[in-house]
Amino acid sequence: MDAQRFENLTAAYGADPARWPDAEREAALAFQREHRAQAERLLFEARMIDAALAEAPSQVATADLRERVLASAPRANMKRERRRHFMPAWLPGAGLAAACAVGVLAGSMAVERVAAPAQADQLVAEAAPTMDELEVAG
Amino acid sequence: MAREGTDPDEDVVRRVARGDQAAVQALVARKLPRMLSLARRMLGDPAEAEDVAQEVFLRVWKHAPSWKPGKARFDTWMHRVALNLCYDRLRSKREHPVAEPPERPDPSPGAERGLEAAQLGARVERALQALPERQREAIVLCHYQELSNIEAAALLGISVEALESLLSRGRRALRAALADVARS
Repeated sequence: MDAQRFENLTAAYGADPARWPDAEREAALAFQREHRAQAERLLFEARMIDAALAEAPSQVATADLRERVLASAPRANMKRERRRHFMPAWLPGAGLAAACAVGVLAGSMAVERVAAPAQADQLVAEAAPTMDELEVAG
Repeated sequence: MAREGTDPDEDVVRRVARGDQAAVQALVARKLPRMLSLARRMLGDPAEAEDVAQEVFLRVWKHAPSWKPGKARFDTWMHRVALNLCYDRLRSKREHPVAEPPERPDPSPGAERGLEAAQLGARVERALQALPERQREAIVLCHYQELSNIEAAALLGISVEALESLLSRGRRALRAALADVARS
């Protein structure tokens, strides 16, 4: 790297090597080591501007803003969680009854009673998207 | 500075698309400060910066399910969205300028040192706002957002050489505007 490129580099990216382009950082550091006085003069200029830029106020995200952003996010999983949490006590029973009714209507006398709870759970699970849609539609 | 290679946000974006609330919170924690900082430095107005940051996330929620990794990094895409929203507001400001509210110093006792720093910060912010828009963008993207020169140039739709020219001119203009600060 020659002096002109080092000057252009620091004029554009400042004095901090971490901000220099990856592809040129090593060469620039080598120039700095080999031409210490010249490099320091150029770096001094760049450091002053870096210091001024560092004074610009930064803005911290308030809790209120964070809440608003989070509230705007899709809540698919949370909706499911909430529904499970607030599921009425009679709903699993209703599922069981529905499962039994399905069994009766099918006329299958061979349905084993032990399978009923599993079927009930499945019916409740299958009903979930419908409830979601109703919530959204409502 | 941001590096090329795999997208560090790819996994979290995929989970956001599935409605994973932990991923939503992680993405907000990771990106909200960056978007807020970008908008603040582009617009110089805290309330508008909040509006832009919020709007960026509305776009994120909408587009996350169709996000396809590989072309641009998600962070770069978010910067693009935020910059576009900032452009809209800057254009609207140019077309419908409003009077700047008067500066109100903090009257509380013991606030003198903080006041001095705040005044200095306000001066730097005004100097940034006074830069031509493209120079300000270049400085905000490279210096504050710490994007690589390649990413910043791509976002601005220019070559790396043109980006460097914008950066140099912007920094020179800041140096001139803040000559007394830079010397102290």
